[in-house]
Amino acid sequence: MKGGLGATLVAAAMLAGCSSAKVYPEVRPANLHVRTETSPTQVRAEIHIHRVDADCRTQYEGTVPLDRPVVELGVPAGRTSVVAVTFSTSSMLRGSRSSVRYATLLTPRAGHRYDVKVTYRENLYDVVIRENDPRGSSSRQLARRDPAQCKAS
Amino acid sequence: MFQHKSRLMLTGVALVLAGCNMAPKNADEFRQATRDGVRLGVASVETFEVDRSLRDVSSALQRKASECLNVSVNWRATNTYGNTRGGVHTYKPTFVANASKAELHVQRKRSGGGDVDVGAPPDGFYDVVVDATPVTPKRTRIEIYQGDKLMRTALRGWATGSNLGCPDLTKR
Repeated sequence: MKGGLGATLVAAAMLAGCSSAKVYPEVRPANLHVRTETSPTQVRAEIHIHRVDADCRTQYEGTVPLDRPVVELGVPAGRTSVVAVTFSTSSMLRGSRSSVRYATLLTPRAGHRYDVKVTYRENLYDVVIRENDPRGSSSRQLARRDPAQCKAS
Repeated sequence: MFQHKSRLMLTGVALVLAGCNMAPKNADEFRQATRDGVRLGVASVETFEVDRSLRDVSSALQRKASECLNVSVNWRATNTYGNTRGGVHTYKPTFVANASKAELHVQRKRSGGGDVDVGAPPDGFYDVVVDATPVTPKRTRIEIYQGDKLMRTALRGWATGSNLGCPDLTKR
């Protein structure tokens, strides 16, 4: 039993060490409010931000772990970014790791707040983004914009 | 356990059919093969009705299929001896609709990891086929041919509008 726990910790440390994720910098204002619900809790959810230039080339900017029920981060307004959420699980028994990714293009508008609801329940995942106007008087759900459909401007 | 047994039997039937070059090559053949499988107790067709118009159901199936099923799943597994193998499963959803019917066909092409899809159509074996037909202007009948529990749960959620989540296809 102790050996099993030891092996798990070593594996976890190795996985953490192998991670190529970089910490997403603090951007103000924090216009993305991410609410996460995962079940089982062993699912690791993360949000990744990539800058998108006029030629649709992307540049990875960083990752924020969604390890709390509510996480806030800032995504620059007036510029398009790829917002991607990954759900990762690993099974020591099966010796396998898996990860599934949801990605969308997002161009935040100045002063607007974006509520992102991230769920993973019984092997079904969903990411819903709502845009709220500065006065909070109106809100609309944003349709996913497939990054593969990005058109150079 | 039952599900595992049933899948093994279905795989066996598929292999026999593939060996005879009889694997379903299109959605119609897949429906027929599934009906035949139902008679043998190795396949199933799930039928239910939803209180939504065909248009709403059709639009949800199209949108969610494009969002969730147009994917490639890379898998990798290591056995207890430390041997690792991996491969790719590429899913292809095809949506077809007219005023009186909507259809969603999902194919899965497997490559690598020792997977050999003998006799499969170019985009892979049919995995699941969904038909939606109107019962009344506000009620629609759904038929799901085959598919595993996860896929069916997702398709049911899209059809009813109760859960628009994507299936985590790495869990199949």
